[in-house]
Amino acid sequence: MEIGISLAGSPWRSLQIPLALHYLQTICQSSNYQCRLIFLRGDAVFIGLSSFAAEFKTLIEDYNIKVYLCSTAVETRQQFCKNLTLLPWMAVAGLGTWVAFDLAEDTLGLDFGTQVIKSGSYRQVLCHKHPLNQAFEEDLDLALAYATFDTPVDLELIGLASLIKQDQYIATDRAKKLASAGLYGVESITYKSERNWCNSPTKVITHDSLMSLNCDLLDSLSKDTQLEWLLKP
Amino acid sequence: MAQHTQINLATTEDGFLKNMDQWSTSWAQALALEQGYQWTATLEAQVIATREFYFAYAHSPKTRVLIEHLKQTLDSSITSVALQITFKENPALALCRLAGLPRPKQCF
Repeated sequence: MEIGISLAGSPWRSLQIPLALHYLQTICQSSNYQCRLIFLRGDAVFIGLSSFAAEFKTLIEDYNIKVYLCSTAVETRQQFCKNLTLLPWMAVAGLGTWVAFDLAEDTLGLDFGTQVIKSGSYRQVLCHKHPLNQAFEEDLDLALAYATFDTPVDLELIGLASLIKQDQYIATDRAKKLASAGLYGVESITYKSERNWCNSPTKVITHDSLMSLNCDLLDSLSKDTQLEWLLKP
Repeated sequence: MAQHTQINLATTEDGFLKNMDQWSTSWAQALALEQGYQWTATLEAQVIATREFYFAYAHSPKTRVLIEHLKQTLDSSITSVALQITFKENPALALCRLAGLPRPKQCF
């Protein structure tokens, strides 16, 4: 099976990158799975500037993996970071590139950046980020992108993210963008406290189980498995 | 920096107004004529609706969501094919350009 990996967390502050590298090595060494692409969103577009750059580059060259940087993430961050230059092994692409890969029938997309519950073609995007955090908008964009691809999608705003409905945020650009979700085809937006969400009866893959990952676990990550990534960017 | 030839407002290389506050109906009309479009009441309503989308939802729409918005606000029979024929290019790009809005992001 062809695998794609999406990352969004900061190479300096998040556990996502070392975890994903560990995961990637496991996949690459497997004869049953082939990693075809890595899609970097959010602060993960900085990976080429981080201490993970060399290890990452070696892996993608050795196994001929395509690396895409989300065009919006690049555009947003280039305003603040002039060092964010594209390396020869990177290409810029729209979020649709990732969504199309994830939704294809014969591929499996693993998103380390945003918690996405999958059930067939259905997607439930879970956002925990504060409304003032750029990552809030990037999770929202992911939900909008799924909807644009005719995918039934629900968006759950959990904990800090649910603050967006409060008066002080209601006039922000992100709240306005959120208001357009219905036009894109997002079926529902729900607001939950962190406590209510933790009680939901879904299958949870913990950080520890991922660190001890073997390829048998990949089989449990089929598209019909409800899955919550507990890794917060 | 590109300059609009008829009314001399600064635009990006692909023709999007750099300062959306400078937008006016007359500017849009002049741009439409320059680009070979007939400035009809229908086109003006579509341009205004595109601007309303931007100010309501804080981003420039891509084609699919723009059409949904136009269907809901102007005419439920609007189709992407009809708009494509009218504009001979991506309808969202054409309408955002005429509406003086930023280029819709490539993201999706």
